[in-house]
Amino acid sequence: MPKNNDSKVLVRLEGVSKKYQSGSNEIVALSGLDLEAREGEFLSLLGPSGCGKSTALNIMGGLLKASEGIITIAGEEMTKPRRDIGMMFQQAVMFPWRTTIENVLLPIEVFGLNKKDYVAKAEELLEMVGMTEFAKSYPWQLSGGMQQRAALCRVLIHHPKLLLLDEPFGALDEFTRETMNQELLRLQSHSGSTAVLVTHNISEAVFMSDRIAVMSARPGRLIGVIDVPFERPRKPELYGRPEFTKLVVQAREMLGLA
Amino acid sequence: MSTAATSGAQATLLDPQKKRRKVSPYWITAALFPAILLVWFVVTQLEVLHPILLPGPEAVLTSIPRVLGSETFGIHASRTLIETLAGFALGAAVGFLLGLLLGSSSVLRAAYLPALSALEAVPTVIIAPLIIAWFGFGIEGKAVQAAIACFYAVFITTLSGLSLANANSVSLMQSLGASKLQTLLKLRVPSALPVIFGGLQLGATTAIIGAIVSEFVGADAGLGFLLLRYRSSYDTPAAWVLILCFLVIGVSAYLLISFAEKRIVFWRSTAVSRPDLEKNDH
Ligand SMILES: Nc1ncnc2c1ncn2[C@@H]1O[C@H](COP(=O)(O)OP(=O)(O)OP(=O)(O)O)[C@@H](O)[C@H]1O
Ligand SMILES: [Mg+2]
Repeated sequence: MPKNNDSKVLVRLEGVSKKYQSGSNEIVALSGLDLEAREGEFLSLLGPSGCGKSTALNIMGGLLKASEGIITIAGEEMTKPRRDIGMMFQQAVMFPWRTTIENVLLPIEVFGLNKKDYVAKAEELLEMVGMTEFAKSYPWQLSGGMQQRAALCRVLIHHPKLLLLDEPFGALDEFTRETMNQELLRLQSHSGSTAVLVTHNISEAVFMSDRIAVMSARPGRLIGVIDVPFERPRKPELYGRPEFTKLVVQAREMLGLA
Repeated sequence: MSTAATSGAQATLLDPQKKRRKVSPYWITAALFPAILLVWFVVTQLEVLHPILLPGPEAVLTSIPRVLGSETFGIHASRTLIETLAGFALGAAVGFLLGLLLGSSSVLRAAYLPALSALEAVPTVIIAPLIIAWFGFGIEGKAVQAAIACFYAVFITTLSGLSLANANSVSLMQSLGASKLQTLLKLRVPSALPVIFGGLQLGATTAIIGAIVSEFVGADAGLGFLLLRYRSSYDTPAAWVLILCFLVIGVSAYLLISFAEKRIVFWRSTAVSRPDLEKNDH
C-alpha cells in the first residue's frame, strides 16, 4: 500500500476484511480492503450494491468490528465510536418526540456538554440550510429533504473532524439531492472536515469528490482510485465539461460497465 | 408546507384535521345504552329470571340515590379507590422498572423472565388469602394485591416496547458513543411509550379487579365488601348499583390514561400521517 507522507492521512484501512455469519453460511463482505482518506479531502466510496460500502463505513465509524485488518484514525487505532466522527445515514433518523433544534442538539446532550453553549451554533447551522422557521417543528411536519437538512446540521453541530456519509440523500428526489449535495459541499469546505461519502451514483461521485475509491462487487476490495482535479467550489456547469464525462467513463470502465 | 411557515407551525397544521372530525365516537357508545336498557327491561318483564337474581332496570336506577346517599358509601368508595390507585401506582412503577432492568440485560432476562411469567399464572384468588394473612384486612394488603394484579401488564409491555426502537436510531446513538443508559432514556423508553400505555390501560383494569376480588376474600371496608353485604341481605338492586360503580371507575381510568397518553405520546396522536416517511418513524 502506498504510504503518502506529504498530505496527512486521517483514516487508514489496511487489509480490512469483514465476514458476516448468517445462519450456517459465511458471507465475506470485505476482503483485504486498503483505503486511506487524507485530511480535509472529500473521498467517495463507489461500488455496486452489496459490495460492502456501508460495511466499510460502519467499520470506520466504530459501529462494526473488522474481522481482520487495522483501522487507524489520526494515527490512533480505532476501537470504539469517537466523538470527532459524525455519521449520516440513508434515512434522516429524526426522533419524533424532539423538535428540529432538539434533534440537532442531540450529540451535545449525549456528549454531556452544556446545550446552552451550542444553541447559537445550532441556529446558525439551521439558517445556513434555510430551516430557521422550522427550528421548533417536529419531524413529521417536515418533508424528507428538510429532515435530511436537519440531519446535516446535527452531524455538523459538534464539528467532527471526519464525516462518514452513507448515501445521505439517496432517498431524495434528484432535484433535492443536487441541492443537498451542494449544501453538503459548502458546509464541508466551510468546516474543513474530511468527508467519506458512500454512493453508487457515478456522476455524483465525480462531482463531489477529490478522490474516488472504486470498489469491486462482493467480496469488496479496492479496484483503484480516481483523482478528480476540478477546482472548488464545484459549479453545476461542471456536468457539461468533457473532462467530467471522461472521468465518468473511466469510473464506468473500472466498474466493468463500459 | 407554506402554511406551516410560521412559529405556530404545529397548530396551523393540525387544526384543519381536527375540524374535519365528524361525529364523536362517544355518541355511538351512548347510543348503546338505550338498547341495553330495553333488552334488560324486556327480559325482566318476561320474568325469565327471578327478580332477586336479576332486578329490572327501574329497580336498579331507583336504588342509585339510596346506595350513593347512604352514610357509609363515601367511606367504602374512597377505600376502594385508594387501594386501587396506590396498588396501580406501585404495580406500574415496579413493572416499569423491572421492564427497564430486564430490557437492558439479556442475562437478567434469561434468568428471571420465565419465573416472572410463571408468577403471573397464579390466580388472584389463591394469593389473596396469603396477602391477607401477611398484611391484614386493611388498605395495605388490598393495595399490594392490586399491585400484583397490574404489575405484569406494565412489565411485559415495557420489556417488549424497549426492543421496538428503530434500528437506524440505535446506530445513530451508537455512532455518538452513547452509553447504554443514554440510549435507554433518550431513545428506547420514548420508543416504547405507546406500547407501555397499552400496558397501563390493561393494568388499570386488572388493578381494579385485584382490589375488589381481594375485598371479596376478606376485608373490613370497600365496595367489594359492601357488595357482599348487600348480596347477603338479598338487596340485589343495590348490588347492581355497585356493579355500575365498578363500570364507572373502569371507564374513568380508561379516559384518564387516554388523556395522559395524548399529552405524553403527542407525536403519535397529533402526527399527521406521513406514509412517505413512515419507515423513519416509530
Ligand atoms: N448484518 C449482516 N448480516 C449478514 N450479512 C450482511 C449483514 N450486513 C451486510 N451483509 C452482507 O454484506 C454485504 C455487504 O453489505 P453492505 O450493506 O455493506 O453493502 P453496500 O455496498 O452498502 O450495499 P448498498 O449499496 O446496497 O447499500 C451484502 O452482501 C450483505 O448481504
Ligand atoms: Mg449500503
